[in-house]
Amino acid sequence: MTSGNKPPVSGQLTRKDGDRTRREGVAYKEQQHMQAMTLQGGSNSGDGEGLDARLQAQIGHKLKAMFDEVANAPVPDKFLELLSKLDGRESGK
Amino acid sequence: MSSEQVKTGFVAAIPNLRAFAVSLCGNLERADDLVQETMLKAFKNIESFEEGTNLKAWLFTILRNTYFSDRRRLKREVEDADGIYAARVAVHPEQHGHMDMCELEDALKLLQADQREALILVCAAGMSYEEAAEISGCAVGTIKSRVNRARTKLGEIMGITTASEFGPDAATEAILTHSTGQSRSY
Repeated sequence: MTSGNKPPVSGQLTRKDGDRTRREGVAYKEQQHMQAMTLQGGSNSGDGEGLDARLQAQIGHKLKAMFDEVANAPVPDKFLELLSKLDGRESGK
Repeated sequence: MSSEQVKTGFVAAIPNLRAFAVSLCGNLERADDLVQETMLKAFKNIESFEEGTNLKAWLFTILRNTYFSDRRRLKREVEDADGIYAARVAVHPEQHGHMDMCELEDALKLLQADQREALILVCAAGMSYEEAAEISGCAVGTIKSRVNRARTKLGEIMGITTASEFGPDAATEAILTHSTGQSRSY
């Protein structure tokens, strides 16, 4: 979540306690969006920005987590063995 | 570049190459084959690597070129498999009870390969748009639009599912009740 010290980004959010207003605004937007979805069965109708931003952030996190899961796994020995073999062949040239 | 330096660079790049390969092809076994092939090709063509340039990006380029040329070679089978898969997912969207790792992997497979590649490079592998463009052999603007399209498409695929996490209402409740909670394991 955004830090409470951050200044509000957009002009319309500069009311006092702007951050809280913004958070509530997002929650309200999501609620509205859920209602719109329920009524219309669409995922892109109405005030969807809050939901979309949240969804995109989640997708970003999951993508990174999926990638890192493999990237942080130990490298199988077969690769190091292959490298040593290739390296030997290369320097033997 | 000494072969010792090359070797050190390769060892450092292997984890990221594996992760990139898995994200591209969705299968660890095939990914490791790709990485192995990449290493063989890289050693064979080490003269064409310009010293002082980005070794990781160079290896990523070899890997994705290998993947895409294999894919072209097997195009018909791949397309058939994708088609059947896409159809299965399309008629059973309610099977997605919640958004988890398996679901993201499933959703990734529904993207066009070039869009999936751009998304992974930029959003998962931490490449800049410029690096991603260099690796994929296309313009920076092309990468940006591929990433945007991939994000939009993933959002569409996963949107309904994730929305239900924000508090089920009658409609999503009904969907969840019918959910089989199906998940796939690798």
